[in-house]
Amino acid sequence: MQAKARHFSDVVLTLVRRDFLGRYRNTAVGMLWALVSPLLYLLVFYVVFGHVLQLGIARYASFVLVGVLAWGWTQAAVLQAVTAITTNGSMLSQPGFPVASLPIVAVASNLVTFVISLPLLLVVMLIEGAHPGAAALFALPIVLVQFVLTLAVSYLVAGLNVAARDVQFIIPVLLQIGYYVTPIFYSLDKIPAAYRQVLAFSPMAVIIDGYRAALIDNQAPNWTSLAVAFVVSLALLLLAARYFVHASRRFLEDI
Amino acid sequence: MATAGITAVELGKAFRWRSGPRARTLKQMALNGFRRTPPQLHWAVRGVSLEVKAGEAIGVLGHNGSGKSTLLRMLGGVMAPDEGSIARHGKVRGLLELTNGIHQDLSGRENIYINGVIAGLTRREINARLDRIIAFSELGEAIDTPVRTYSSGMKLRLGFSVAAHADPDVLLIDEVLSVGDLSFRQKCLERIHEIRDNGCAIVLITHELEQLERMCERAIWMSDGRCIASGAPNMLVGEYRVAMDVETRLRTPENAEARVLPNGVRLVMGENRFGSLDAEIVDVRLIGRDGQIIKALAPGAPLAVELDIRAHKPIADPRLSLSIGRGDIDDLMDLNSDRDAFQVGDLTGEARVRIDLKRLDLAPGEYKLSAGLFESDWRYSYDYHWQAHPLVVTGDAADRGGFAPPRKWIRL
Repeated sequence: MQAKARHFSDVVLTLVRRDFLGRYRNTAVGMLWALVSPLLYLLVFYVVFGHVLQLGIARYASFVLVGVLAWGWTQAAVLQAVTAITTNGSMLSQPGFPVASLPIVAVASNLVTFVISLPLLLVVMLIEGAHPGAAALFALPIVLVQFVLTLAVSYLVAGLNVAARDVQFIIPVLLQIGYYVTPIFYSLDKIPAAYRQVLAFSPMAVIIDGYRAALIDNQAPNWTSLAVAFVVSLALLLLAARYFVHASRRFLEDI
Repeated sequence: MATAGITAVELGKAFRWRSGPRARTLKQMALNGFRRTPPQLHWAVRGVSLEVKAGEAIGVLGHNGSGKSTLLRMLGGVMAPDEGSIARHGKVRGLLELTNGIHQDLSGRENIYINGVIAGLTRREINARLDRIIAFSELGEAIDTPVRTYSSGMKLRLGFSVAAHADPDVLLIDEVLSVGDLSFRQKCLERIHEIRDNGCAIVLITHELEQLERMCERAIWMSDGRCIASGAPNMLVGEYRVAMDVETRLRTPENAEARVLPNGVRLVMGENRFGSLDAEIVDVRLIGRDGQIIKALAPGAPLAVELDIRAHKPIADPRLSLSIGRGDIDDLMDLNSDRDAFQVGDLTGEARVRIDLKRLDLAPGEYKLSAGLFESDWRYSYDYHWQAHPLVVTGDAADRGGFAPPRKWIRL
């Protein structure tokens, strides 16, 4: 049992390393590419909503970047997870290979990308005069909540995509919609109250708001909302993992 | 563990084919919702029992689609059987796809870890075996260069070296021993023998019959998902070969007319020609050093053999064979595209294949060339010209024996 757990964690560690080392190995600027996409989004939002259609949000660049980076982690992880099973048939046929590790690899390797882009956030924050303090440590439990939530979604989509390949085409669309209904480039208090009450239930909204409070405003996040988001995410993860394990017995037949 | 092994009883696996053996889509699911068609059951494996104990090797024979791989997957526990039971004792591992998980941009050394964890080792176990794995792979300095610079043979060597050091109690092998260059292949076989002698139980799928005879104490023969025979490998392999001849004869058209090829050779069905004729070898040309068509050549001279093929229906990736015989020895030389890892590719209409023999050192005499075009699984022949094409090797008739390489004598 212990040997199995050790092997499982070694599989995750090694495949995360592979993703991370392999992704930028043959590029001139290496992992700086991880910063290009969030920077471009930042630029667009900053120009459009900071200057053209002014939303009147203080330290708007920092505000947007927190949203872009946090959402970027979940989005990249889910996109990787959706094909994690269908494109790795040869691993699945290897006796003793822990299939359940593949969605974890998707979430963890994109967490690494998220973490290495945090210095960029720090630079932007300092330029805008925000000074992170001790409250920044509150971001750690929020990372845990986001990890659990993202993993739950990853297990679900990875398993569903084996049953019906359509899932891999639907997910990018859903993520795109998610980008707009999550307060990434706007804040909840800028939208009509009726919508606000609905959107405030989104765990991603709670998570991103929490990061902003902890990192930019040096304040404690809304613990109540986070606790609810955590419980919901955890319940979702248990359900999704159960579904995944159940479905995994038929994976090889359907890919 | 002295009791390592696998016992499988009456295994069965049924695949549910909806509108054919393909992945499901929402559309199909929606259609099924409207009109509930019961899924078609296709038994890929049924009623197969098998037992392999520590230190034993059992072989599985059968054509593609006979259920061999499904059986192996069930034994490995990566596919759940629908019928029967499996008892596994010890760590079950596979020698399946050797380049599994390899990342082109990472070094060989980094890929050893990736391959290793996929093969069931922990990082600590890999560290302990790292030197042995690298030494076995014979990759030397190249181990620290990116795998993208490797030849396909080097990649296979890397993959095999990792898998061969996973120290399982039960090892499942699927066709992988027929890859790589000859000397490494030999080394792989020796390593497998060593693993078995150390008390590992082995289940081996291979289409190389000689390998099966050498490696296994017992074998089973699968056809259409069922075990149709089991017993000593040499007996089974003999029967298997006969079955191929029978299959070919069954498919040989009876009323085919004798035909004279452009090279003057007369082919008579059932005498010097066998096969279904779904595709034909319509001409065989022997070509000499200067590109001219020849009927005779000198010892040590190069020879190219060009085969013109005509497919009367689409043929998926067939096999070619070419052999040279004299008198009652059929196969002084016996080549086939499979062993030389040459892929003929799918055929529609006409095709031409050339085999370049850099030199032929046959002794002077009269030889007969056989050429064959086979089904991609060697199940039967489309067209086989048995000892049909004459080849004369000229030279000093004083030469005896089978070979007469160009030579000179020197007193030193």
